[in-house]
Amino acid sequence: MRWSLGITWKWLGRMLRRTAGGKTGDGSLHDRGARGHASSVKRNEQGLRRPLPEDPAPASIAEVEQWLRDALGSPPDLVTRSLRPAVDPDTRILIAYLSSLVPKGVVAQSVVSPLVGNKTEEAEKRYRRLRSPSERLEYLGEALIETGELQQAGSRRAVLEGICRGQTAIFLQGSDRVLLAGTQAPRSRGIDEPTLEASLRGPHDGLTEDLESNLAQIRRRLPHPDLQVFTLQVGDISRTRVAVVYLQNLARPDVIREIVERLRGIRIDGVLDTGYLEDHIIDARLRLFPVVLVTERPDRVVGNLLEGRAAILVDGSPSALVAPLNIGVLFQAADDYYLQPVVATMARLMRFIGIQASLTLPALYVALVSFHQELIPTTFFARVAAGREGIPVSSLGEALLMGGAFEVLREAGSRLPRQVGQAVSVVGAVVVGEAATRASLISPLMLIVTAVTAITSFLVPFYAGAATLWLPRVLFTILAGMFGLVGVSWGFMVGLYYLSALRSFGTPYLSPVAPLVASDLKDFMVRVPWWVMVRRPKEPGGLRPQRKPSPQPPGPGARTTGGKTGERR
Amino acid sequence: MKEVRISPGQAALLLFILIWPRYLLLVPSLVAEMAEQDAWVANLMGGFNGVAVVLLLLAVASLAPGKDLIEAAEEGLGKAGGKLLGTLLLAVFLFMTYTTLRASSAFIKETFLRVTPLWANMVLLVTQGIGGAFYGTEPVARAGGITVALLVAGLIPSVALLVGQFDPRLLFPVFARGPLPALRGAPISAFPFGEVVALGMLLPALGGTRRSGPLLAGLLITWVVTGGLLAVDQGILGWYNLSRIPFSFLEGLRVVRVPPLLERIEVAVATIWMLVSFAKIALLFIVQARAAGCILGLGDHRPLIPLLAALTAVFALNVPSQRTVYSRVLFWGGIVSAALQTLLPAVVVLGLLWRRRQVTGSARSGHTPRSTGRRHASPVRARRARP
Repeated sequence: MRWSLGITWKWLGRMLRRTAGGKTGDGSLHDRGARGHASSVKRNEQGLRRPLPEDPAPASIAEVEQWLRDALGSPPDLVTRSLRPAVDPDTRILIAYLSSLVPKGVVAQSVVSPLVGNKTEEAEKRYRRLRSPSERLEYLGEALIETGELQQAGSRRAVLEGICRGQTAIFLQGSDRVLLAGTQAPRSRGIDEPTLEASLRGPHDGLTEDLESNLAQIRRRLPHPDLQVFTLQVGDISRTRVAVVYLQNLARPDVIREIVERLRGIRIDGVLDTGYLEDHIIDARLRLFPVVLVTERPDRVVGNLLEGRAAILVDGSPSALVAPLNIGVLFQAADDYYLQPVVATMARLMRFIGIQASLTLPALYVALVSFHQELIPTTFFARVAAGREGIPVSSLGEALLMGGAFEVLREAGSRLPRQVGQAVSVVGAVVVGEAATRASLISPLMLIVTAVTAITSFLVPFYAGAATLWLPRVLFTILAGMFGLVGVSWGFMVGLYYLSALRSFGTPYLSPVAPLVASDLKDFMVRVPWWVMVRRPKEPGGLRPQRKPSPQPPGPGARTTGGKTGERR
Repeated sequence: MKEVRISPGQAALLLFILIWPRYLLLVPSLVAEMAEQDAWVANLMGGFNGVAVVLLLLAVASLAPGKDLIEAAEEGLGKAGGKLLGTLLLAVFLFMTYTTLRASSAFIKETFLRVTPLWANMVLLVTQGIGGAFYGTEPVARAGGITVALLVAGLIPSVALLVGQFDPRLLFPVFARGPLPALRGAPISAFPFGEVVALGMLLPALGGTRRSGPLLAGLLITWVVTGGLLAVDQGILGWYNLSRIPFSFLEGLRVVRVPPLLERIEVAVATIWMLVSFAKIALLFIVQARAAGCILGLGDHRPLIPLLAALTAVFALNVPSQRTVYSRVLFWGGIVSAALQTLLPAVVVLGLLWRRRQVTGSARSGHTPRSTGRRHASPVRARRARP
């Protein structure tokens, strides 16, 4: 008996673990995610390429040049130059960099000129007083090199990685240490308005592909020493820099630790965007719903940092990941915090209703027309029946056909240039809609349903959320075609179980609704005025729950606490 | 596997989920059949069963902290006694599950899918229940909480619309034929209230007696709401019609007309009701699997979920569908189950008290108490036994 139960259990357990969001443990932060990472690390380590050498760089300048050419494969943009420093003309120095990554003139101005330029007696005396080549190299770096960033490297791996990143390597004859001067060119794209998260009233700047620029945008908004940035490299070949940003006294240390641990556990050859990381660090194996916020807006990142969350930035990606997250983000736009509370609340309610409509409208149409005609008022049903007369496909076929056509048009439109994309949308709407109706392929009511579904699906304020709606919509429609309203209810309930079990770094995805956190409802479906938001949301579980000491109602006699005296006019 | 904790609010929601689906669906009709004019009084009497069961469960949680009902029974009655009582409890749980499955699938067939065969409805119910049960108690409680909120949101306007049709004269006179009809109907209404005994298998997750306030408050609210709904039903349809309509509350709603779009408001309520019923089925699957796992001594009960679910579904499918037979099954089974729902926890409490007294006496006289075959000693007992 126990034996058979054991086998059944193993099979079912495996099946459950393969489905997303299943509750297989205690729901703690180290639950499923950590176990998954451990096994994936073990698996992937076997397939890794040979690591770069960790032994020191050659001390002889002649050997260095040959080693660099061998190690990098003699690339055409590798520039090496031998020179003799003014403070010691008997010694040779070799500088090496990749010209494609270093702006013209920077090396000449910041590295070469200071080394070979006019010497001072004081500098020469000090230099000559040092005996070991490593100390002399260190002195050269401290006293002469004029770049803002300067590092010492002790291994061949670090030297090669530095050169590949755009740094200039400075070798001194006889020294096994190497200086790496920060001469890399900043990314050229300027700060633009976010394309996927436009704002009417709020800031119009967006994140860029440059990590430093993104950090700068966050630091300018939060000039406080509590803002912590933890950087690490992910990707065995790409060595992409990843930064975890958080506010030290607000974010929960265990959440930050968990994020860093999950990032450290990733074994992948390259990371080109935040999407690569997102798949690795979420709590579920299958990403059906967004459990990490993807945003292009620095103000949204900062707003979440102030609520005790953490942001993950990736060098080369114009978007940030914010965690932990709950389902409320599907209804919240950045503008909600800048517009009047009433307007923001109305917008959120509209989004909520719209998203429900987008999910269930085709399914309800199919269920009512196919199974529950008695629910439709008689006069209206007569029109529906007249519209469906002569239609060769069932209502389920209609819904799937139109839903598929819409998704095709959306995908085609989003990949084309803006002007052409608009043309595709217009032509698609005309051709697929009007022509299909005239040809009696679909009923006019179905056309309306599809149009409303399409429009309401765009109410989700961020793209990743909107894109995830189509799968449940299609499933609901198929279930409605099979079992009517009962099928829709079945799908709704199974989806609810899934979402109830889903967690984002330990935070229940459905919070603050399930579990109910009454105090967090002030910024869920409604958005209360800022002066009422005394406490931070409970669910990310920040260390300091108070956002401000007390409510500060505005008015002529209102207190003016909070601002510094010098700032008041 | 680490046991999850359920918040006080969720504990109360579990109670709603267990009582409401059956109460709104089947009880008014059967109670009216038995109690006739005094149906609403019989319903009020049945609520005492729920109070008794909840108090007994809280007593078990206090006497054997961190243990479920069967584990507590093993502590109080010895291993063999505990297994025997557990088997009886499992039978009650299986009966509760089977009747819920049967009633729900029949309801779906009569209300929504008249052509679809009953087994297809059963497959829907069982698959969602297994899915929910595999996710665990906490997700089911959360999902159930949302469905209960939806149901309340649907019931409030429905009842408001029904008030205009309500005739209080249909509720009176009370006890016109003596108290006997009401006493005959009371066990029927006691059965759904007694279904809270299922929480006995979730006592460790509920966190013991700290949940007493929300649980009792939840029960009180359920008592008042269900009693009120049945009274409204009777005040609209009259006891005679009530006794002849299986899903009387929906029939009551059918008299409401808010043309043109709300012509069939009862379907909206029925759909939401179905969601709560789904959650109840998932919860019962968890409970019966836990009980069976406890009896068999399994560390993890989850392999039993699909097995027992299939068993109850097959049993429910093979019960004759004639209403008279079915109501008879529910009537006699309900009476026996209602009795067991109260008696079994009471026996556990008595056993625990007796064992505690024995241990205290032994500690005073300096004798070591005889081993009961338990695997873990109760911390409370150990503390009290210390000289």
